[in-house]
Amino acid sequence: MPLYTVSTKTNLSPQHKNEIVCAITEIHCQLTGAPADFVQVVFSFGVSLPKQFDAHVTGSIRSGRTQEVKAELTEKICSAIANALNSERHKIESVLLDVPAKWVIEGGEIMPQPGEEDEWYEQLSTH
Amino acid sequence: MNQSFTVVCSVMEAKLSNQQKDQLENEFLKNYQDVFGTSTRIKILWMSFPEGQAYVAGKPSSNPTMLAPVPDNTDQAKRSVFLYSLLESWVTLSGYKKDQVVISAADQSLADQFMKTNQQRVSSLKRPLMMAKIITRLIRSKIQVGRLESSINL
Repeated sequence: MPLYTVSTKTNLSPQHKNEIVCAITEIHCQLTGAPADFVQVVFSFGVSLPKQFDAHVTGSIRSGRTQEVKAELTEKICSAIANALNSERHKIESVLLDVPAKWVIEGGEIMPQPGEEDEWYEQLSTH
Repeated sequence: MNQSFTVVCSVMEAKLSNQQKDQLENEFLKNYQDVFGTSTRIKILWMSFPEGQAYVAGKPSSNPTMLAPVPDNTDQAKRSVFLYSLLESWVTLSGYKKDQVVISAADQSLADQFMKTNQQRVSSLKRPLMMAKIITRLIRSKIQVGRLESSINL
């Protein structure tokens, strides 16, 4: 986690997928300080989105991010997807869902709270 | 009290055999019943994704993810025991390593919100058609292989 699911009406080319994956990973890490290893992106194709949208992204992120960070995540990720798809920002819909870190197991252990990743990695290395 | 949960497992196509999925279903039920009581029932939806549709750290990934809802306000000690027992089942039966599996034991209400978001991304006009398509797939797979299976692609 985070897990971003990007839904589109049709399949995307490997280049488009790569561009979107790189952008989401980079934006999430830059804005939250989370390690790239945590960032998952999944594509769902063939989705009958409302006419006014070219893509939809649902992000399940660890709870604890400020409203400002979440607003910036939304804005930058949607803009990056629009850019990759040669679309426009308002044609990308997004939803962010907060999930408490301690409700998720990843890397073999319960996830750390945002900001406690270094201690978590240290703990992993001793197991 | 009878409790019933819908569990969603997302796995890469052809990564798990029918036998592995059957064994995992049995173990997951045991994991639920050990923690939440023997009257607990679960329904497992297997969502497959083709190669090249999932990524971790910017690279293609075949890692499975699991959404395993629990009753709202389950205490953390119980939730942790549950999470590690599910992980143990995956590692023992699937061939995945423990650092490859992502499991979320979210409160039922949050899992519902996730499912609702999933449905609402679809145009309201076409939502009944999408639901019909998914239900048809699930019924067909239940008849053919005895499990509820669909694809991340609609």
